[in-house]
Amino acid sequence: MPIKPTDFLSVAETLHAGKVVVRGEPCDRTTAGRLYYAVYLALRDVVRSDYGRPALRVEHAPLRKELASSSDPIVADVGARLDRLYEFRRRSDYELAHTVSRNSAALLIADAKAIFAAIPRMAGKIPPGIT
Amino acid sequence: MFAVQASTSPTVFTFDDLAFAMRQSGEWAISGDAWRLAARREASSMILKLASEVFGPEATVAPVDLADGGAAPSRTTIEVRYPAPKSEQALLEAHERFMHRYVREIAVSVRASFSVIAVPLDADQAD
Repeated sequence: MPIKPTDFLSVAETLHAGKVVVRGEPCDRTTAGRLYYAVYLALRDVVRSDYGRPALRVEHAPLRKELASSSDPIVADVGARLDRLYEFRRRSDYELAHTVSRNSAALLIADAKAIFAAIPRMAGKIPPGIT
Repeated sequence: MFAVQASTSPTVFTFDDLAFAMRQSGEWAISGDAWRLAARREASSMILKLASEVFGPEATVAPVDLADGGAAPSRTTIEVRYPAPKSEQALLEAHERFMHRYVREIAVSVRASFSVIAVPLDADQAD
């Protein structure tokens, strides 16, 4: 269902006022964005810790590519889910005519939770070359 | 087909390996980007087979052409579209089955240099 740029303005004003955002596509699109950054920031910390470089600049594309192409199934699973989250975030923010459904948002929440659950098992398995 | 063998082999392949092996087989006497297109087609076939098993025969796959406005992708995205199950629990279970099998049967075998995005479609979204 197409949305308008002002729908994002309404979501922002509602959140700023401390009110509940009603269910609907602007809410689902906002959900997709917050979920992607939740996992990106957590995985950035994992990479920085694994590399022993706390200020490392971790680019989005190499992070997704290297994790998703790992031969370790735990890391590859995280990469595949990160790919999904990134793609839905991109569609949610840029492709206003492209439907982002409530079902998709529910699956993205599941993907984000799966990533957070996998993070403790990723130590020492981070592929080299993520910068 | 080579790709089917790759999905069951313990050997790890890259996307380029897959394209190179197909060319070496003589089936595709082509070069350059055409190799990658052929490999993408073969990867799409593998993903469609898996999606049909998990989501049912109505699942479809298609490479995604990105619209303007977003950051350019670093690799091809293959989109799987399937009818959304009626309940959210069934939706979540199907999604987890697909992700589990995709990662173990395709991604870690082919060392995918493509993204796979499975999208559940409500009845009013179906083409």
